[in-house]
Amino acid sequence: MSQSLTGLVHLLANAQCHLRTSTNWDGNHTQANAVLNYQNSKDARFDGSEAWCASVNDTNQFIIAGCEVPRTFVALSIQGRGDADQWVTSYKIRYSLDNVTWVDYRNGAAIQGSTDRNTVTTHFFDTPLRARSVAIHPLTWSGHVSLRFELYTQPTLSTFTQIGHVDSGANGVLNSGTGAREIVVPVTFPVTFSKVPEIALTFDLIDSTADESNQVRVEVEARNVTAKSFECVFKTWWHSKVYSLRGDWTASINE
Amino acid sequence: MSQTTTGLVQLISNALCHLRTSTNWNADHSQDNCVLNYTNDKSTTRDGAEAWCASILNTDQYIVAGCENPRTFVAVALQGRGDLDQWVTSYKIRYSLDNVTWSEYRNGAAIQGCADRNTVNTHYFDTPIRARSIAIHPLSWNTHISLRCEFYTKPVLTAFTQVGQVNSGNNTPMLSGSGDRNVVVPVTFPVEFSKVPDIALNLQYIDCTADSNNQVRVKVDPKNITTKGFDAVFATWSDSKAYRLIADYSATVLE
Repeated sequence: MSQSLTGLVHLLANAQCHLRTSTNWDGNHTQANAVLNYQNSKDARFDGSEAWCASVNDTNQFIIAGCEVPRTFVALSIQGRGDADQWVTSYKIRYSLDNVTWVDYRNGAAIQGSTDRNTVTTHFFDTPLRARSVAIHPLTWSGHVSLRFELYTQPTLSTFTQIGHVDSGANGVLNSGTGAREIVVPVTFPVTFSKVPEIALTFDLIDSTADESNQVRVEVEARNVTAKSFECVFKTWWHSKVYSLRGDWTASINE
Repeated sequence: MSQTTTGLVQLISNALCHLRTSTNWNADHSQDNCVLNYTNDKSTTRDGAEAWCASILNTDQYIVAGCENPRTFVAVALQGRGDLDQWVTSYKIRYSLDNVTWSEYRNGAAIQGCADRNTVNTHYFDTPIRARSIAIHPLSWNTHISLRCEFYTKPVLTAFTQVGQVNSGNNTPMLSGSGDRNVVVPVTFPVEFSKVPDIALNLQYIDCTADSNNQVRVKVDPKNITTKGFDAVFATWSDSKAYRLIADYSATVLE
């Protein structure tokens, strides 16, 4: 399967994660400059390195990207420092989903990194990692522990759900006559959704009379659904009758 | 409609977003200082600019605020640099909901910015913007690209939902006799909720007997709902009978 970054979320570029580092060379060499292709002004006045640069050159250095929402990490790109000959030649990845237990990707095996300042080296994970936090641990380097990087995740959906209850009332039009009959009960959501929700609407009380052929017929349907409200329609049909119906609704969006 | 920021969430002030900038003049002129009304210790030059200040003066500069959960952005406020005569006189806004596609607010048209150091200029979006990430792109400035800012969003509710199934069992008091008869089945949530949830509890399996008037009567209700669980009360009444009822529940907390 050919691998592509198309349609993936660039976490750092979109400001979708918090970054923490083991050490920084100083305030002008921090994770604020770690995003792929970061460039400074090139002025003689030094306004910050074109990379995160650790303060200590050993294998205890790391940079962690943390998200509050779990993500599916598909790939990682790494790059050298843009304004000096410094790059990470190999690294390992650790990650955590619950932020209690951390896991070594590929059991801590070294992944090939950079060999110059600006070439972007992309590693697609063997299988996508499900995690909240992902850390790069440089293992070998040229010149200094310095890098720029990006993490690519599948787009994330957030769910918003509301629940409510609805009652047809007792002994209404469903309890006499024949043919298609319905009772419409309007429902307003406690909080307006940001878009039209999906609705699950089912019974928690059925009080009905089978017809002369012993046929029980009950239905409930959500109609005219908008972001603010919907109509709950209780129905029976043919010769069946219904004394009372009650239901619960669950309305949900993913965006 | 008069517009107000009352009741809205101030994102930067509440540390609810991650901030990324195109460039910083240096570490003492970073996004750390960009919150509205940021003030340093006036008696020393040690501690940083009263603004985010870019390192390069061109129209490629920006500051991105990213939230992992979608927000409804109502307004943006802009202010100049507090400790020098530098301010952004006009800017445009870009935003993204899925962090894959970015949109231009007002097709990239310039919005009026600041004319001095400290006056707060609030822009209410034509219609509230639904987004995860939003960026200010300065277009024109007085002396230097420097700004303090704030984003105002509607409060966000986060949903937590758990789903499960409950079985009345067979050969219960609902199987014979008449009058109100019920079976109480206690349910414990897999995870305790942070507050008492709303519950949708509905029948997915009905095996029952109509009475001599062909009346089918079945219901299920959640009672004694706590953060840890609830009682599922399956019932029939009058002369109807029920052999077995099975229900699904969805329990949700919004906070």
